[in-house]
Amino acid sequence: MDTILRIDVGAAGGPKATPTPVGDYAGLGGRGLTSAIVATEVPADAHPLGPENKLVIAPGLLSGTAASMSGRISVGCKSPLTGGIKEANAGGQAGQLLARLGYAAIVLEGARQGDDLYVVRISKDGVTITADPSVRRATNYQLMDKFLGEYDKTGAMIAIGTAGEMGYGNSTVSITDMEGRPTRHAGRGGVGAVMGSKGIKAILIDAKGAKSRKPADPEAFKAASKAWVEGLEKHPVTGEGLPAYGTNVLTNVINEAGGLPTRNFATGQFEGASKISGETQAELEVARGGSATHGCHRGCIIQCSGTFVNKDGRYVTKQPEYETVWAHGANCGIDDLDVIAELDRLDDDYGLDTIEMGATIAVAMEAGVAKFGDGQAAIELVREVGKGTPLGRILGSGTATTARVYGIEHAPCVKGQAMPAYDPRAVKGIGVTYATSPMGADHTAGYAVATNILKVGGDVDPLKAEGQAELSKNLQIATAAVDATGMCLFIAFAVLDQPDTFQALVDLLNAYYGWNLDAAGVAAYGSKILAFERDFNQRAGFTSADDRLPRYFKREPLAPHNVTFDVSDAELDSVFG
Amino acid sequence: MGEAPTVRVTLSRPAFKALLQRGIGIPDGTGTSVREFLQRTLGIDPAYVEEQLQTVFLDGHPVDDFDRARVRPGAVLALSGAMPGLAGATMRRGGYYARMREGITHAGAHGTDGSAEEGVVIVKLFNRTLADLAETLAKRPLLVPGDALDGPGTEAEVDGWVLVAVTLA
Ligand code: SF4
Repeated sequence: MDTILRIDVGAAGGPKATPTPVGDYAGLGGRGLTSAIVATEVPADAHPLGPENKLVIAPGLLSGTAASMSGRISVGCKSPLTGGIKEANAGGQAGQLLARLGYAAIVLEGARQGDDLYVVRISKDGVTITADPSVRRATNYQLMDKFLGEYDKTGAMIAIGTAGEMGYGNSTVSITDMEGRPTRHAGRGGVGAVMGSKGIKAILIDAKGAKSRKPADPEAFKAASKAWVEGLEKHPVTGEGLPAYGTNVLTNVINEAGGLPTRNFATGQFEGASKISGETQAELEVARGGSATHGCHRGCIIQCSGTFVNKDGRYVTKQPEYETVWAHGANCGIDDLDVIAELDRLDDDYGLDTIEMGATIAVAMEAGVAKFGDGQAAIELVREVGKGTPLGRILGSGTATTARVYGIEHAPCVKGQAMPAYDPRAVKGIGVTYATSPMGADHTAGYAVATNILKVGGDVDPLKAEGQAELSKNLQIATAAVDATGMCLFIAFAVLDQPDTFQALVDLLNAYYGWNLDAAGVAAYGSKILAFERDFNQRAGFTSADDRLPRYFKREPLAPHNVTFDVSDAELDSVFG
Repeated sequence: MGEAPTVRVTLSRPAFKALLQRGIGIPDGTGTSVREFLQRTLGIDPAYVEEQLQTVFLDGHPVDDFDRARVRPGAVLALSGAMPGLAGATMRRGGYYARMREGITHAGAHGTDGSAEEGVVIVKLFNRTLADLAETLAKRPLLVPGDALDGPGTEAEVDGWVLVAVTLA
C-alpha cells in the first residue's frame, strides 16, 4: 500500500492513470488519508462539482491484511451536500482488494473533458480506462448485470448509479458485496455526485494473483490477530446480538427510550416499531428462506447483515440496516418491512443514501406531497428521484433543499445533512456530535448514542445537558482513529468494552507497520484527522454558528419524555474549543 | 381490572414473540423492586437477571439499579440483552467501566414508595430475551391486548385486555 493511483480525468486523449508514491501521506489510511488529501489538495472554496475538487477512495491501514473486520473503505471529497469536508465509509469487497493490489488510495482529479462516461479497470497488470456509452444512466444493479462476469470471483466494483450521474446532493458511491451485488454504499454527503462530475461511472477491480499484505512482524501479527478474533467472539454484542438481529436490533430499544424519530421527528416513539424491528425482520427473513446472518465482505466475523427475500423467496435486497428501517419506516410512519425493503433496493439501485432519502420523504410528507404511512407513495417518490423528474431532482438534492422548496421549518439537518435515527432531544450526547462533527449530522461520528441510551459512562444522563461535550469529543476522536484502520465501526462495542481487545487492535497496527503506538498515540492519531477536517471546514467558511442543531429542537418538546435539546451553545463550542 | 375468565389460546412461537415485543400484561407483582418482579413474579432465574438483562427500561427510562427501581401499577418494563454501541460496556455490572456509574442512580426516580398495590405491569421482551424467556412467560397467566386475538378472546375482554393461558404450538 505504498502507491496512490491518481487519475487525471482532464488529460489529453481521455483520463490518464498515474501511480505515485504515498510520500508525505505515508502512515495514513482510510479516513485519515482521504481527509489529509482533501484538506491539503482541494481549495476550500472549490465548488464540490468543479474541477478543483477531488474524490479520494482509500482502504484502511489494516485492509487487505489477514486481520478480521478490516475491509472498510473510505470515500472523501468536498461534499456537495454540506459544502464541508466529507468522509463516507462503506463495507464490501473493494477495500481488501485495492489494498492487496498495493493501492493506498485512488484519487480522481482534474477537469473532465466532454461528457463521455468512463469505466476504469484495475488489476495487478495495470490500469485501463475506456469510454463506454452503454453505461449512461445505468443503475447500480444494471451495472452489476453488465460487469459481474468480469469482477465476479476475484474482484469488486465501485460505481455510481443515476443519482451520482445527475449530480445529486444525495448520491452514493456503491461497493459490491461478497455476492457481487451493489449493496454497500459510501452513503453520506453526496460523494457519488463528485465521482459523476469526474465522468467516472465504474471502477472494476480484479485482484487475481494479488496476495494478502505481509506484516513487519508476522509472529506478533498472528498473535494479535488471534486475540482480536477471540475478543470479538466473546463479546455479547459482536458475538451474539449483531449476528442474530443485525443493527436493526436497535429499533425496539431506541423506541422504548423515546428516541426513535417518528413522522419527521414529531415524536420519539412509533406505534408500529415492533412490526419493523430487527427481531421481526430476522424472523421473516428466515421463514422466507433468506438469511439473518451474513457478512458484507470476506473476513467479517460479526456478520451484522442478512438477505431479504420476498414472499416467493426471491432476493430483494440485503437486510435493511437500522438506519434504513428507521428512515423509511418510523420516520415516514411506514410499518411494512416489504415496503422498506423495496425502498432500500431502489436506493441501492439509483445510488441514494437511505438516511437522507428517508428524511427527505418525511419532510415531503409533512409538506403534504404524500401522506405519512403511505408506502406506495414513498416508493413512487424514490422512483421520481431515480428518473430525474423535476420533483425527483428536488428530492434528490436532499432534506434541507426539499424543506426550503416546500417552506417547511422542520428540516432535521446540520450543515445541510439530515440527522440519522436518534432524536437528539432524547439522546443529547449524540445531539452534540450531530452539531459539532465536521461531517454534518452523522451517527457514526461518535458513539455517544450508545453511551446515552444504554447509560455507558454513567455520569451522563441521556436527558440532561451537562458533561456531553467532553464525551462527544473523545468519541469523535476514537471514531476517527477506527475509521483510519479500515476496521468496521461495529468493533467499537468490543474494543471499548474489553481493554484486551483494544490492545489487540493496537498490537495489530504495531505488528503490521513496526510501530510503537499506545493508547495515547491512537488518540493523537484520531485528533490529527479531526484537525485536518476542522481546518478545511474553517477555510470553507464554517464557523461555530454552523455547529448548532436547528432551533426547533430547543423549542419543541419531544414526546414521550417531553424533552428539548438544552445543551448550551457554550458547551457545544467547548467540544473543540 | 375486574374478574375475567382465563381464555385458552394456542399461539405459534412467532405470533407469541410478536405479542411479547408489543407488550403483555402481568396482573400481579406491583409495588416490588424490579429485581423481585423479574425473579419472583416472572420466575426468571436470578443468574439470568444478573448476567443477561443488560438493558432494562422502566417507563422508557433506562434502569441502573434493579433493587431500587420499583414497579408501579401501569408501569412498562422492557427487557433487552446487550446492545450495539458503547452500550454493554458500562451497563454490565462488574464490568471494566462499572466505576463510571458509581454514585449515580436512577432507581427510585421512576416508581412507587414500595407499598403493595394492585395493578397490571406491561412487560416487553426484546432481542435475546425473546428467545430466552418466551417459554418462561408462556407458563403463567398473561393479559394480552384484545385486538391481538381473533375470535373467542374478545368476549372476555376487560379494559381492553384478555386474560389468557398460552399454549405454544
Ligand atoms: S459487522 Fe456488518 S457492516 Fe461491519 S463488516 Fe461485518 S457485515 Fe459489514
